[in-house]
Amino acid sequence: MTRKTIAFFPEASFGAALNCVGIAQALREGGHEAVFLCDPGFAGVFENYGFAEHPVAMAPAMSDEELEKFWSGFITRHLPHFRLSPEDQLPTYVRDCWEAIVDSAEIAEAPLQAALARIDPDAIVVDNVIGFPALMQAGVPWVRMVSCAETEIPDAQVPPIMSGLGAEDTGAYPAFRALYDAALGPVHERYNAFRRARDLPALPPGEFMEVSPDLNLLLYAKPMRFERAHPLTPPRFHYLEGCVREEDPFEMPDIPAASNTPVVYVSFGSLGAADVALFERMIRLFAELPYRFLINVGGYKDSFRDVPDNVHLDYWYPQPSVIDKADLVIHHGGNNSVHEALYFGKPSIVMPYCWDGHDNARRLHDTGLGTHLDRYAWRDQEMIDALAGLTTDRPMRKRLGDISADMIAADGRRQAAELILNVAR
Amino acid sequence: MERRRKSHTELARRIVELLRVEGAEPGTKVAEQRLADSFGVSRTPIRKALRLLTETGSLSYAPRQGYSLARPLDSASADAPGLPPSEEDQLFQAILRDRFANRLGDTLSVNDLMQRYGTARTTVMHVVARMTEDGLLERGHGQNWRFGPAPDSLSAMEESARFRELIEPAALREPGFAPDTALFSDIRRRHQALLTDEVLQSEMRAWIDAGADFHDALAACCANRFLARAIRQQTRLRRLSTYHGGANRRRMRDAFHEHLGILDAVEAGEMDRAADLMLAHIRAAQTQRPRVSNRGVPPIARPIRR
Repeated sequence: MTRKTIAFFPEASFGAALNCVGIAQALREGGHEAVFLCDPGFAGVFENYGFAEHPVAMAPAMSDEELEKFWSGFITRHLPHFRLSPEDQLPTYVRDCWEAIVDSAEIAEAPLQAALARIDPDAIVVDNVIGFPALMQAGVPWVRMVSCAETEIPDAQVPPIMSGLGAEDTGAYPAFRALYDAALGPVHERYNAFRRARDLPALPPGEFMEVSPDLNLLLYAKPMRFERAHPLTPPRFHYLEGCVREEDPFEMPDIPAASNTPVVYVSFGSLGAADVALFERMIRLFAELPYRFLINVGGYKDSFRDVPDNVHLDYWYPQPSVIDKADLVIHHGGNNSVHEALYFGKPSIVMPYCWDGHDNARRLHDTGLGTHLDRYAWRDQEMIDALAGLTTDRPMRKRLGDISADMIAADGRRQAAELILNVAR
Repeated sequence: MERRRKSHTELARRIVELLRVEGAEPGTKVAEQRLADSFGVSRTPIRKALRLLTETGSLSYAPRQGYSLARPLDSASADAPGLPPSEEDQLFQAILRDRFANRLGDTLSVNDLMQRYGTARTTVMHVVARMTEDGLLERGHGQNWRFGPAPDSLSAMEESARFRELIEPAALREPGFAPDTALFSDIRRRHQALLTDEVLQSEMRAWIDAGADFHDALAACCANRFLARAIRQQTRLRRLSTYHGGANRRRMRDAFHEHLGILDAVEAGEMDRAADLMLAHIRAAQTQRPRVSNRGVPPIARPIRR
């Protein structure tokens, strides 16, 4: 066996990063080397799992204080936008994000080229929302990892990305696409100009990344997949049944109240944790309910006081290990959370606030695998009913158990590793 | 029978506490008569308590030599390992659990604690006294106490780390530092036993205690009593804090290798290098995951904590 070096370049989000860690672990178990190109802010995350890191500058140099100030401003500006409809988020949150994402692609070009020259990988796996010319022109096979919703790869029969529309809402697709293209027109043109300067063809309106000519892996379990007008089939396209990483075991903390009641794990991702007021509202209700709650409040744990006896907060949990022990998961529809819940056979309450969360929430609801609650307009009784219903629904539990067994048997991590090695140099 | 068993257990705890207060170290002889005189009881209950402590591994017994302390005493708990926790120790742990879980406010009263935990006033007063002596509580007005500084928030953890950056390397550079070969040997053995075990299997508490005992061991060798005291206090606070969450096995694995590297330097007499390694070790422990990130969020917005 020839030992291969596979370079991973996940977007600087925990979803993409940790999904790639799972696959990298499988490669390492097979005797190959996996290394990570990463945003400097994520340095240490991959080393924590034993992987070499190659930080790539993706932003103008800033001091820690400047970054902190920028970040506080970003949260302040956009937190109210999470209350908007998917349509109204397009010219606000979504456009701002794309402006910065295109900036990062331009800034990262030269450092990426240098890093790839140093690493000399046999293949590159990119889990991102934008195409980086340096990766596509590195002279080795590249693999597109789609760990967002399947809606990221457009199709006439698939809802537009970030729309939150369902498979039967085809009549509404053109209007949303038009709004999307209008909101992102200027930034899309800027990105296309960058591509043309790198001798890459422009992309159609609304698209920021092409599929790979070599291999595309979609992290979308069978029960949630869409019927496509143009199906995505092997050998270029493969669906993975989740890529759940190995994590630290989870020791249940000492929770003083509600012993022997169902355990509910709550996480809205690290950005979602910034909405402290929403968590406070939820915790006030949770205090009265016969469950134990584990809540990932990210960097905001210090904002909470008088935490009820049946609630445990923390900055971080080894999520897959926690979900394994939970009875129900409340999340924001992030693709990792969706698939970790399915992998362990747990029902979900989904409260999305942006990006692909809208799409995943709708899809889970439509496929009968979870309950979609409006993030802000929910009523207490709706939450109470959802918790009670999902923790006692035996037919759903059986169905989720069968899905879990299929996903575990499929071993998405190992399947991804094999497919990547097959196309590697 | 149950009452007698309980009284032997209680006597065993009191013996452990006495040995801890006296600073007894492994190998210290434990004499029956002296204990009987100290506690005002006959040798019979003392003998039973000592047998219990031998069964739980705190003491060892050799014919004609008698009892001696078998292992370092856990500075974080008044209990000897293996003994069922006392009511006071249970209350102590419950208060800490709730403090680190943000369930308790910054101040508390005896009545609040009695009501919340359903415990007698005497027990509450004993625990409050113990926590005050430990620096975990500070006396306020009347029957009120407030929590003392502890690594119970992100900012407090950062301040604690910056304080340790000042004192722990300094302790290694302090003239008169006296390495304790036997103590270091025990630390190495425990570290290596955990490192060779599957990192994902062993209990977190064993890792936390081994890591904290390493820092305590260096404090014990420091000739500067003020530095030593400050390090022991920081170590105790961190130990108690991580019992209640935040420990990361993978980071601890790296930390243990760093500990062994520091011990190598100390035992080679290279104290400046040991101090530099200690500074790097404390800084490495501060590396945190990005506080906030999200799909689509620009990477420019990621605060880095170092």
